[in-house]
Amino acid sequence: MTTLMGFILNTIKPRVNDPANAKMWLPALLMQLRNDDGTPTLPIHAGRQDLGALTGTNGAFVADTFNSVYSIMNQVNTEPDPDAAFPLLTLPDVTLDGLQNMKPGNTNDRPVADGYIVDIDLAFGAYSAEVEGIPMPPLTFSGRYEIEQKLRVVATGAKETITGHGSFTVIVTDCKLVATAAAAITGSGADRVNTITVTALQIVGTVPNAPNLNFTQLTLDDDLPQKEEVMAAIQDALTDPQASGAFITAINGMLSSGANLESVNRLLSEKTSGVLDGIFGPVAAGALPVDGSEQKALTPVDQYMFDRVRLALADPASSWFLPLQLASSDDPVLEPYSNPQVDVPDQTIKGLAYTHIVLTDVLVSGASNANAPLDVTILATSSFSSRIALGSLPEGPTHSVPRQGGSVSMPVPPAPPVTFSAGFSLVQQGFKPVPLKGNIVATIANVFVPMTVTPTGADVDHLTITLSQVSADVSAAQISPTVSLDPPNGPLEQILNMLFAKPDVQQQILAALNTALAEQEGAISQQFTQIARSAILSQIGN
Amino acid sequence: MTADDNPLIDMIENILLTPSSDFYIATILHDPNGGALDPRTIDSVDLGTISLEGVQIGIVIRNLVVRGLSNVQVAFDSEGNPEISVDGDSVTFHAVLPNQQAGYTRPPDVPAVAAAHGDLDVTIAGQPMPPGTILLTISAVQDLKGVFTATEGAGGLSTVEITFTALSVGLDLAAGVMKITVDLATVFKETINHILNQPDMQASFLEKVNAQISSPDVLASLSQVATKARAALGTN
Repeated sequence: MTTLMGFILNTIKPRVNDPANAKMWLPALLMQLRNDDGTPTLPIHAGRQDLGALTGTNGAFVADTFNSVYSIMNQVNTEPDPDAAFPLLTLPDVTLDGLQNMKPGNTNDRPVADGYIVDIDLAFGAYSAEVEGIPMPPLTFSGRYEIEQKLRVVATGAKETITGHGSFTVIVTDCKLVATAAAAITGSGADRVNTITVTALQIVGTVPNAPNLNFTQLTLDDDLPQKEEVMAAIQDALTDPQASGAFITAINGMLSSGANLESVNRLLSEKTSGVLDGIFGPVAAGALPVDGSEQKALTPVDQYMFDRVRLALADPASSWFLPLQLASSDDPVLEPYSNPQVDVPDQTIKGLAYTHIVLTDVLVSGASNANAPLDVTILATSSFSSRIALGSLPEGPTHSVPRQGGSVSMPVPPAPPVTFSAGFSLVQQGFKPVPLKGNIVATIANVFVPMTVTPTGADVDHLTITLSQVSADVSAAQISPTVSLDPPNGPLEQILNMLFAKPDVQQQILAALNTALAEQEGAISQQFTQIARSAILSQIGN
Repeated sequence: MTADDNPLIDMIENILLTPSSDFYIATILHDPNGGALDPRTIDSVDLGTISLEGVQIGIVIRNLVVRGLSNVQVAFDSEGNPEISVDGDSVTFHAVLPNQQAGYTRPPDVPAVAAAHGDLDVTIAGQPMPPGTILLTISAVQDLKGVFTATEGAGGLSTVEITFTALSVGLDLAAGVMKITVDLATVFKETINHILNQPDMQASFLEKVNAQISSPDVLASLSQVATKARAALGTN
């Protein structure tokens, strides 16, 4: 089963990788990153980075080369300082470019006590040249370096220092960025806030002995003797795996610096709340429902999202507003709901059999006046249930809703109560079977529709909302039927009024309607699937 | 209005004719609590005084308990139509005993043969005799006739009132459907039995019984029972 977070990640991935997606394409989003002084975050600039000593054979060779150069320059016999035999590498001023040239790949999410921990692999060099006006260099680390070697004058034991300065440009390949983020809920009850925080950004190799550093530029400013040899020694030392490791450590330090993560998280938080508000409508501070123990969410993040859904279902300003969703269903049309023929099973009422009971041209109006009360809308990990009250909301403003062949205008929600009308025919069995036909209209107050809603699918394109156990409950309803016969027959109409006023007859009619509805559950589920998909897609740029 | 052009009449026929219906004729006439026709206790029937060889014999029947008169079904005319007529809100039915309709099951307290028993108070020349008993059987009823109206009560149709306005038992006495047996400690016992089984005496007896069962009290009681059964018309 896909977790909610998995669903979100799967949904986002193709969209953040789509240059045509104006809202979610990652490189464009990354270019929007700003430092707290408002300057662009990318490319990342950093000041002095101490990479430590270059050790090993290559480091020793650099030490020897510097020692030799010093000896020549100063005509004194020196040796690498036994107390600091290896050269120290420092990067006084560096730039990390090409971070926008990234594509998310594999993701992994783990439910934890307060939400989810998410790892996202981001591949570098995903694009080339320039895409949508954004330059797409490879991951490039460049800037100034200093290599300092401590020496000891052999004769006197005096300590001396020789330093080489220069510029470098290195392209980092065979690596990916692993972003670790925590989705969590802070605060409690009505004041909960959803946060997504990137906690670490780490470059790791994708093949053995990677990442690979390719120096495309290396200069030595200092006018030193044997400059060619010095440069060669430095290049050898810097491409040594030990030095490469130090470079990557420096890069990782820059990526995971407080300032960098802060700017990433600032953008993330804006975008997340923007997307959530866009999908569900904004929620005022302190307006979230306080959850009882009946709510069974996998994580607090799931519960938070569900609570946003619950609020959205009841929010007239939200595209999830339940009456609007119901009114927007156009295949089948639910407002008004019509059914050409509903067969009601034979009835035995007070010892008399009524057969061939058929309702024709059934029309139920006002059922989109639906409210899912917060306290009975309950999350059960992978599905939720509710008991929707029909005809309980006041009439709302006029909306345009889609219909096959053109949209129509109607108040959303429609004015209560729910009304029912149908033609009917039936035969009273007995000594002489009595065929009867006419019309019945009824107003229905206090009707409820319990249902279970199960969303499934790995991403929004496969999101399927399945309604099940949808059946109107009129056990507490007030149903006022009025029967008219063709031809009119006052006393008989009154008798049939009594017949249709009987709860057991109403239950049977309802059962037949519920059966008809159940047969359309698939189509209705499909409608809600489309409505939910488009509500989400409209906020994430399709 | 005839049954042909008003389905309401067909429905009333169905209601009265269908054994499973709560308003089935045998059902509304039967009330184990004694509120309807079966059983029916008649407090007293004063048969008056007969003169036998110059001796005045007074006969009064008390606590006459009649059982089995609900074992009836709607009668059919020679064309096979049920004898039910509707005039406005007034319904008249004619029924016969015994009920031979398929689907009807006689309740345990309804005897196969209608019967009555009671106490007998006899005075001879003004002198009361020791108490006696009377037993009678009715093997067939040729015409049990009832008339009722269905009218709305104050609460609309859910309070529709069934009001019986007439109820009578018609017997073919000449065919000997009624048999009366008295038991009394007197030498006049056989004579009294004989007199009471004379057709004119039985007719007089029947007339007095009919007067009792069509009394306002009995009709009101029956109406009450039937009103409870009105559910068959569609109400609760």
